[in-house]
Amino acid sequence: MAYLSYIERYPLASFAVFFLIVPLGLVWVRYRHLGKAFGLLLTFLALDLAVGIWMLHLAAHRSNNLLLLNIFVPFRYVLFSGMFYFNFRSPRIKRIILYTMIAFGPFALLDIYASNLNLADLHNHLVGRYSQVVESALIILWVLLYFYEIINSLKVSNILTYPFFWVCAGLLIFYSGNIFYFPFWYYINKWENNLRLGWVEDVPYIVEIISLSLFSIGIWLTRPHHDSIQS
Amino acid sequence: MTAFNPEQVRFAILIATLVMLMMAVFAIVFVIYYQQRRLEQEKKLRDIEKSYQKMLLETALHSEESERRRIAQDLHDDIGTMLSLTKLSLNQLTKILYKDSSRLFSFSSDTSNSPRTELTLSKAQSLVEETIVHVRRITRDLVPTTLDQFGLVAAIEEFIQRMGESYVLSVQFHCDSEDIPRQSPKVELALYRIMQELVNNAIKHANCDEIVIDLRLEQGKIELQVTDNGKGFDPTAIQIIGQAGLGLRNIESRLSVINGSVNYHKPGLRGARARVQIPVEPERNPKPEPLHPFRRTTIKG
Repeated sequence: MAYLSYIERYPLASFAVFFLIVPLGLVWVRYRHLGKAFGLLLTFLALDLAVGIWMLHLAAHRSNNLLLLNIFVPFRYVLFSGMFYFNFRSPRIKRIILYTMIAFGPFALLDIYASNLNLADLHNHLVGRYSQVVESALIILWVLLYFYEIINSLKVSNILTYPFFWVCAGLLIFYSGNIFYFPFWYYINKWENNLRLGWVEDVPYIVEIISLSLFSIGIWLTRPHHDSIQS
Repeated sequence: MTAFNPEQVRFAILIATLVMLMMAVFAIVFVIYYQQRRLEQEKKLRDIEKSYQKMLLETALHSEESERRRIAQDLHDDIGTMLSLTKLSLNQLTKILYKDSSRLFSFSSDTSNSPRTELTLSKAQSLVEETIVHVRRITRDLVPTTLDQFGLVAAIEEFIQRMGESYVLSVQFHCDSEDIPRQSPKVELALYRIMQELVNNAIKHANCDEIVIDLRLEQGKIELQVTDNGKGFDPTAIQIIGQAGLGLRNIESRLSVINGSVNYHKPGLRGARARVQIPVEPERNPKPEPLHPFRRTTIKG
């Protein structure tokens, strides 16, 4: 009953969680043709669904679920940047990505600590102030660099049928739509919140649904002859 | 932070998010558009390079043919004429020697020298005759004049006839000359040279005793097939770049100029078959060619 009541009150947020079933279903169909990068995307989708359902459960029972989100952020960054690590050809950029993957975990933990001086107080737990912004900036940077590499190398003959392009497009839409929103999460997502933004609070869910749709296109295009960069 | 005005924050977030989303969409569309454009440019550049390579190849082949014609003309006009004159002089000398035998004896008191002189003279005559034959053969090999005048079928027949004189092997030629329309000199010459190369390859490498040449019209294409019963070769190995010898690469080059193709097969346990196909050109004007055997042609860019 609590779940139905929550879904009724927050239909878009709930839909964004359940929409994850679409790309996951497509992964099921295309499982044999997935490369390393799409393996990481699968891990992300599965983890996101688990975390989403868990957060929904906590929210439906009126418990603070932000700790889950805070912990999920470094994992999300590692999985997404790992996809770029496998797709970039430049060893220099690969190395930089690897360093940021290593450094981002401690940074996110430090951010959680800095944003929540009393970690034991889970009821008033707050979302990290900077980690998601830094994550957004880094992923947007990797996407743009990857686009630059694709244009320069001309290894992809038809970009519209190249699966990872659609994943990049999804990531770019997701992080571009959220980069200015993330700094306010710290102030909006408080148990005793005086700052209400109304329908603007639904923007991240809309952006998430769009990006998941783009991921789905990418996964669908992962056929044997499209698996290589020459597709 | 409670001092934030929700209206202002909402507006700021909305504008910033919209701007960022627009930029993201623009970046995606730009990548699609720019990548397609660069690919098109790259394709155009590759096409230009390809046509330039083809032009270079055509010029090289044309120069080679011109050079062959020049050498053939020099052989025919200079060496050939001089050899004919030498033969004539030797004939005259023989006549003089036979007619005036007393004068011959007066040259030398030793009568036993007469048969020796006779022998040396006839040897010189036969050597000169042999050299004339060789020069004629070389000249014909260099420039197939029959090809220019009577077409591909006649030239191949003549080539086979010459082969019969010099090699102990059976060469058969199957063709319905009525079916084969006259092609441009470039195409006919290319086909003739390819046939020559394939037959020479069969003789040199295949260790065969029978060669069959087929020339026919097949679905709008002229098909030339050279089959031998020699030791054969692995056709797939030929497809690998670098495996093909100079002769086969020469065939490929000639075919690329006339938009032709070549396939190699193994007809049975023994032997090899090369199948050349070229598109048929509109029929050439059957106006007779000038009878000058060694036309000098200019190289066209």
